[in-house]
Amino acid sequence: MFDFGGTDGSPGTSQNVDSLGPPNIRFKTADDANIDTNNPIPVPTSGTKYSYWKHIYLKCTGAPSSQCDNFKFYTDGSGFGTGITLKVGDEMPTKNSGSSSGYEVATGTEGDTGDEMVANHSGITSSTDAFTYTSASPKSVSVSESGNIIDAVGETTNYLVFQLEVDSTASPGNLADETLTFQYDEI
Amino acid sequence: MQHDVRWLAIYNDGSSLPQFADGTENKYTDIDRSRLVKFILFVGDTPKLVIHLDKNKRLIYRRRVALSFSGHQEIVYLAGWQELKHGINTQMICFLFEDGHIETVDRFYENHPWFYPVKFLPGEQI
Repeated sequence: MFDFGGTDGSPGTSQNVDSLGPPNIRFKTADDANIDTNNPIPVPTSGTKYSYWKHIYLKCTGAPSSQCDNFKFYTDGSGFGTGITLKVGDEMPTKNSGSSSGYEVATGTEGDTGDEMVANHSGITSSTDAFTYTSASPKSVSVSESGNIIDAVGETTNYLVFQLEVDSTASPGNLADETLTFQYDEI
Repeated sequence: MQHDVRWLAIYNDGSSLPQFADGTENKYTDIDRSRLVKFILFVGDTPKLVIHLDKNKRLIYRRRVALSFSGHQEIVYLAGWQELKHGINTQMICFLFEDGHIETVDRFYENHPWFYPVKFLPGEQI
């Protein structure tokens, strides 16, 4: 799922990305879920341009037998190439079936750059290149539901906050798709 | 193939608890561990993995799911046991992969794509 729009603590839309693609998510300089070529991230002559950040999480849409736990996130480790970095916030702001309190609306200038998330998202104090997380070294994903497990329809993980960074060494054009994966245990 | 995997618990008096029966699903946590002697994973109607247990061996079972943002899903079933033997935690865990092959390890391994530890439930702990 991908939350966007609305106001801090109250996203305007919760989009099931399964129905969008592939690709299912596109990083751009706008806060929407459209898979299109509008509002690309410009390659700067110097410094860094940012996508708008994205709040992404898993939501239970079919009742598990008992529960799901042990959530992890990883990539294939390859990355998007020179000058392009996908960052994920080290913290996971609160998201659960009763609250989106960790949500903060993505900000920036459409068509130019998003605001950098560590400096502008109050729930994120540091970030890591998402492609350092692989199946052999994943990022643990926290849950703020009762018991820190998901055991009912509508329950969720906390937010993972992503942002794409583009610097002057990047090549222009559309990037090849990359795969991001969640892994969890169900009983 | 792996979407048709189900378990059957066999008790020491010959009775059993199937995961699915009469349109309802029994939960893994419904298994009476005090009487459990075998735990069987079926693929379709074929028993693919049989775990033999005694009163000291604590059954461990999970359906481990990898779900990519593209919607691709890969599922590995793990079943095995752990026990405290001469003061040492001894484990045996089998992993049933989507292509039907099974890999067995003598413990969970950190930093492995599939063999990493579960979060133990109370009945699984030693």
